[in-house]
Amino acid sequence: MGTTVGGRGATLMRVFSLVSFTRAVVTLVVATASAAWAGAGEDWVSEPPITYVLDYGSKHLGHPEWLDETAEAPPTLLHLGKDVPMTHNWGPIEALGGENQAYGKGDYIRRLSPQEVAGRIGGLKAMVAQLHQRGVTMVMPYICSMTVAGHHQTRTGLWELYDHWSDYSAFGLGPQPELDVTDWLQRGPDGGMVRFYRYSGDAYPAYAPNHRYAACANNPGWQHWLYSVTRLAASCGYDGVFVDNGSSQRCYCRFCRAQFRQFLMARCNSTQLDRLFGLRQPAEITLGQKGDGLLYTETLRFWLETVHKHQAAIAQAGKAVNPQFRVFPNGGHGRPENVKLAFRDSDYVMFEKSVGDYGTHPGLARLKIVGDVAVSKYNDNVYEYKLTVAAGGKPRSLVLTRAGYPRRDPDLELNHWTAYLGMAEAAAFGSGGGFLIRPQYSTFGPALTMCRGFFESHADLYSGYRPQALVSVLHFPEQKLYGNTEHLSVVKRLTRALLDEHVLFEYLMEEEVPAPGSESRRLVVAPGLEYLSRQQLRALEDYVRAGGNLVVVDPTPRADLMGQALRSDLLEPADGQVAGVGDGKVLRLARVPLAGIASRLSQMLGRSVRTLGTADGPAPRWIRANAWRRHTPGPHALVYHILNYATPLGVTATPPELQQGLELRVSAELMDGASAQAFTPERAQAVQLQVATTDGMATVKLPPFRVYTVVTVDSI
Amino acid sequence: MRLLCLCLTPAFVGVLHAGEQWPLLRHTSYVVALAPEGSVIRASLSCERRASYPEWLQYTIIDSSGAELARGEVAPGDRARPRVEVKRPGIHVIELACGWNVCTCAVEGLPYAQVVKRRLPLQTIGPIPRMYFYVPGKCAAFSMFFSSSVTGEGLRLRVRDPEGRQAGTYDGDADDLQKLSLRPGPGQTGKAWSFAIEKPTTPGLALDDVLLHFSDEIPPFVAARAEWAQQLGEGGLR
Repeated sequence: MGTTVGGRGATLMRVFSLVSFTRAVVTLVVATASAAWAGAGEDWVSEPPITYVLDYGSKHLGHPEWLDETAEAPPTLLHLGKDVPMTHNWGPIEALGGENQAYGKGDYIRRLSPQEVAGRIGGLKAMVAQLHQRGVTMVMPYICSMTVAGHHQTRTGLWELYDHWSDYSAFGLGPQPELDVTDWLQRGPDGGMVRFYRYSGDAYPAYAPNHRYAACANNPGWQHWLYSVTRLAASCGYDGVFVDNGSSQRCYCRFCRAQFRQFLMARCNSTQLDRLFGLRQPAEITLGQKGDGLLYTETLRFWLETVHKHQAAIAQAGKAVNPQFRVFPNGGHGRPENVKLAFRDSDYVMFEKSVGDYGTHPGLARLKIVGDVAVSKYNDNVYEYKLTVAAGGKPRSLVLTRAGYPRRDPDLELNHWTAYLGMAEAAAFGSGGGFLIRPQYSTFGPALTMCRGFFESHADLYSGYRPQALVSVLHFPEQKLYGNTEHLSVVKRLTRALLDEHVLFEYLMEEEVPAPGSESRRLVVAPGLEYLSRQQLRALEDYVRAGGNLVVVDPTPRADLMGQALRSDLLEPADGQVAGVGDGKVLRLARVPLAGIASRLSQMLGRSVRTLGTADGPAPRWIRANAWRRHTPGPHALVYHILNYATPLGVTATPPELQQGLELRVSAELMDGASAQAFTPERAQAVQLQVATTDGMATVKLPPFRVYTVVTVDSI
Repeated sequence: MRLLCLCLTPAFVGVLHAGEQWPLLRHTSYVVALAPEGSVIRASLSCERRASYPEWLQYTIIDSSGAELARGEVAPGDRARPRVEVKRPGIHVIELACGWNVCTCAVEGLPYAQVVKRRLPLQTIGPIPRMYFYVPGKCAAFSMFFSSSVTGEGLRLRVRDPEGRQAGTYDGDADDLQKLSLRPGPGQTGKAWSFAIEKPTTPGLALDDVLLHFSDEIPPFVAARAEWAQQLGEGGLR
């Protein structure tokens, strides 16, 4: 009897009770997962950041004053609402702009005549061309991967379009799909309609008296329609589409059932199907539900792959018109598995960070509790930017933040300085991504112009690098598919601890467990990895035996990817103890220390891991740093980005204080004979820096800055 | 000055016992305790897992100068009893952040209360049998604001005057922020009132997440005991 891991469903228990699991099965599943994701790859290098404005206004087309306003500070990427010939949810309607919920009633949803659609296409073409002419590099309107609006009984909304399909065929819609719109919808295990936005009453409030439905990404009728919508957008000159609800796929319809059968059969032979899932014939394969253990893991994997194909097909539809067409799905926030698997071929991904105790805008939130007692909190988006870097720079992160949700707090709003911080953060920690700015050009225009100007005129600070870090954190997005939600939580706590103490780090994903003998001067952290393949575990053990330094943070591995119990005594010394293993060392921590992680890691590595300091001691925790090393030929060998998160949020906030007395500390061998310079958008000229070397460490005194400075190290 | 006197004479002290630990707090909350010089703050903290949320309770104890005296974490399913010797008498704040899990906090031997105001609403789940707040002497009218924004959830809010008589009630859905206005009668101010949160009587509505705060007339403290609410409320802190 094999040892089982608790909390699994009956199917998996049956699977676990089998005496043996073949190595071949493990290899098969892991290899398939790896094949789906190319990883960072040796060729990948960083790209310059972009500036990004989201403008869901409805008065764009036919409003030249809006074009003038946008041209005051044109962003690299301008993301619009449903400024399209035909909306994904209603079809061709009178309203423009907004997202799914906006303009869903009354005259707004009046169906346009074919003549009106033709006129709209002409108008949109001219509008997009004007935006390009005035300096916007990319313009992308809004579509959604799944929302259908209308009423399946009264045949309003998209049903009405379906009933008049032939009137619009001239716009490239092709023949009317055989399936009625009602048959495009996602279905639950019981056959009922799946709704992602639950509501009571007789109508979806924003669409009353109509409903909001969720279409299935595997449905040929919906695919035909959505890809037509995308082609029409591309034909207007758009450079891509933003795809909302990018990963909302939880469907058990007949198309999904059939495709899941193919999916699982491609991953397992009949013996494996029997052993792993208790399925004797392919016809018995059904999509799993929560509690079905490995079957549900495979179901989640199937839905992710469905989303991946759907996004790729949307891009392909646009590329048929414009080969440079891009897709920009929403759905990165809290879902690293989407970033790694579902959006791996998408160009951008939105992290919609709505909810946070102090809002989610980057910077200092100062909160009075009672009397004179106040707390200072420093919001950041470092995790999101580093996640996409670890995924190989694609998709690129675009981060949406808010001043509280649903209610906005004026004291947590962006201002000029925090908008600048947000864009600088995207530049410092991300690659090719950006930070969302609202179209309030009188407030944010100067920061937009300053940042875009700096990014474009100093592209050499951002192009052609890979992360430079002493610490590699193993961040495995697929842990979530096995039900391990603790991993992400530990990674985020670790991220905060490392940032607070100025330890440079990177994330490595499943396929990047360090090889034995590599990087023994660095340190690898395995945080909350409850599920590992036997190969991954062996690789970690070999890495340590060959001289590597490993920190294991609980929970430690307990099962392999088949659910079979897994344990490594090598990786589980007592809490807080460093154990020698072969030529290497393992430190186990029951939890992420709230303070003092840099000391622990420095002790283990035999050298300081802190990158920043002052003459008197550590740098303050609101100063954060990231570093990159040159990977392709270019002017700078190393680039350090330093940011001040004590930049106050709020509409009436004062400017951030000048940060002075900071020192960058780098291993002397990296600085040997090198020169250093400091750049910042706050100053026109670069500053040559003095480098002092003592005891194997080079110290570079930083010139004062308010929000952001970049230090380059150039070999002589 | 008055506050200092109150701090130095903790007339009303007590310990909550197991089973009395409410409210269940979600996201970030602040508890204040009045601590005289030489006393010890002993907090009893718990973190309870809800659904599959992984967040740990993170707590920080801060003194009246804003200095951090203690920081720590509590794993879901665990308890902790941090202890801090008071060097600077007066108000102390315990910050509690547990994300989507829930936590409880009691302070042994000292008057304590939740801080509840517009920017720091009470973020709770489930029933609250009774909690007290202070209505100042010159308060002619005040309001309570609350919401239960998840579809299918609502609440029954019952407010009682200092004599324990029902002064106001709300029963039903509260997807958007709702307001309950109250007008104290003669002799009902300068005293502690109370409220309870219960399951709504509307069929099909459940009680779970509730946000609540008061209008600015009410001192920002909600306590398990009337005397604590009064003591903190009379201190004049906002």
